[in-house]
Amino acid sequence: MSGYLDCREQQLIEATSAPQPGRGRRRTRRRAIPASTVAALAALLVASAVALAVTGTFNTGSAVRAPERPVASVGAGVAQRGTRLLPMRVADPAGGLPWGMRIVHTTRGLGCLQLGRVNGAQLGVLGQNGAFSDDGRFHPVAPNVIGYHRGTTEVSNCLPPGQAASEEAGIPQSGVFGSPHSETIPASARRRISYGLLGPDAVSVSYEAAGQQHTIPVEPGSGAYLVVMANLPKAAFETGGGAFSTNGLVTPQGSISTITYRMHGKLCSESRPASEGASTHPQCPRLPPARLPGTPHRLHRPVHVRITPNGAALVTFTAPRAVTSALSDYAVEVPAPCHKGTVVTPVERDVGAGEVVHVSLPDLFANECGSTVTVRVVYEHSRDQLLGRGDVVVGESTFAR
Amino acid sequence: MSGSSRPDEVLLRAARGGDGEAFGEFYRRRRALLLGYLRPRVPDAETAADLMAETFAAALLAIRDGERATPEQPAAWLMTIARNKLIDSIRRGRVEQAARERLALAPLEIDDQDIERIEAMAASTDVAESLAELLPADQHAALKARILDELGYAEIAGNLRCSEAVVRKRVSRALQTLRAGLEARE
Repeated sequence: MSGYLDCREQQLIEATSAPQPGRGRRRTRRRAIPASTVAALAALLVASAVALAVTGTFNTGSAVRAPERPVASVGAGVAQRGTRLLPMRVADPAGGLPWGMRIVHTTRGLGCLQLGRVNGAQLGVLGQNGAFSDDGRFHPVAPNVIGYHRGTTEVSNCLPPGQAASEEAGIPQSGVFGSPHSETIPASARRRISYGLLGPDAVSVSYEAAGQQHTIPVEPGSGAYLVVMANLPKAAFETGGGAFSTNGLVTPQGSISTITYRMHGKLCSESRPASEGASTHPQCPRLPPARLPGTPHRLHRPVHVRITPNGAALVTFTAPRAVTSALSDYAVEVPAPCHKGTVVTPVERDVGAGEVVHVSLPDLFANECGSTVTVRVVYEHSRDQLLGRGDVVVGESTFAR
Repeated sequence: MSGSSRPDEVLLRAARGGDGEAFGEFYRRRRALLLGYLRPRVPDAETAADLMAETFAAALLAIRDGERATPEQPAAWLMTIARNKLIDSIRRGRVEQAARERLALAPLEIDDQDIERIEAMAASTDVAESLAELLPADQHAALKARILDELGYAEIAGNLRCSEAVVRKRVSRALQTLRAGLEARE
């Protein structure tokens, strides 16, 4: 079940079968209610709320929307066919709605992993720990809410095809990443989440929680897994670490002690260095590292820089090659030699071959320490996190202040 | 039409008895008709989807009301609800969501893929053809010209070679037919 029209259908089917709602226009005469009855009703409401939390039926609040309307050809792109909520459900240490994950395939060639609380067929976050005015409701998150949107949504990561990853983060039990008041969230409301996409060869992951070793199977095919633990004492909160791989084998980090794979029909394991719960399987055979795509040549084009009336610099160049996904890009670099760094402004959208591209730099001279500034346009023919950016210089222009 | 061959009125009677799948089938069968009617009359697909959802929710509330008769011509009845919701939304400057709230239907996010599907569904639905199934030929011609083509009465009269008064009467009868079964008790 996916998509607006199908979800509406499901809602209407459920509403048809559900008990009749109260009829708004029928009025009954008001009577004074004894205080004891009020107390009993209040207790019943609390009990009902607890029951609802346990059974997984939750009042729904406003949907979480992306801060800006996503565009198919810009940034990570938008969700497309194949996006699915994974069947796994992981209990929260405090009960209530279970945790789950969704894989979002985007129009720009990325696979993004979203995690949060699951209510029926929806993934979302809870109005607690300071989020959504603590309304206690479930707030569905759309597949297009991709990336780290501080204070509004859950963790999500986007990976190029064929890349495997294992990540860990400390987040509130609400599922809202980046709470502005995270320091006020009590330890009991914090969760340590370990999750990842380990690829088709992965079989299981092992981790330690409360002094016990646990091993759970990953989802066949994607190698997706999710572990939710009560936050460890003194553990870093809202920070995380990750391990990535382009050859299908991920080295365990954080809470994960071992990842077991099936390669050529035999089980083997990757273990965290000096891990107490290390697997007895032999180490997996080393695979040759993935190679950087061939470096394109003859990309040189003139780069023009013009200062606009509002003080911004407008960089213009003609794209020598098309960009059709998030796996390659153009970027404007402004080296700042006095700061031993480079300010990089990525284009982050699809570009046609031969298209005239304009990039506005609002503060070209912010890091300037000489009489001239160099503006360089590069073509990043690989934006793989492990393989590096594979930059090729398109052209540069030196601009006198 | 898709799914079983059960007529609309049978589906709605089953839905009154709590058969969710029956109402789901009615929804699948008639959503394109509503989108085809609503989409050209609102600025974007999201608003059309919102109005469609509110229309089906209002229809479900009416069906579940045991004091009402189930409509004899459900598609026409649904179109009338949609038209009323559309007029309300124009008057208020927003789409009402009272029916969805009464049914506790959660808000749903619409993404670009949904928008494409809604646009395609609306574009491929010939509302006039759907109305033709529901109305006598003369009433259908008059109503189509007035409501769908948005022509003036004088122009329609010229095209149909009859007096303006006759056109008004046909449009009025067509609307009455479409309202059949819908008892305005709200």
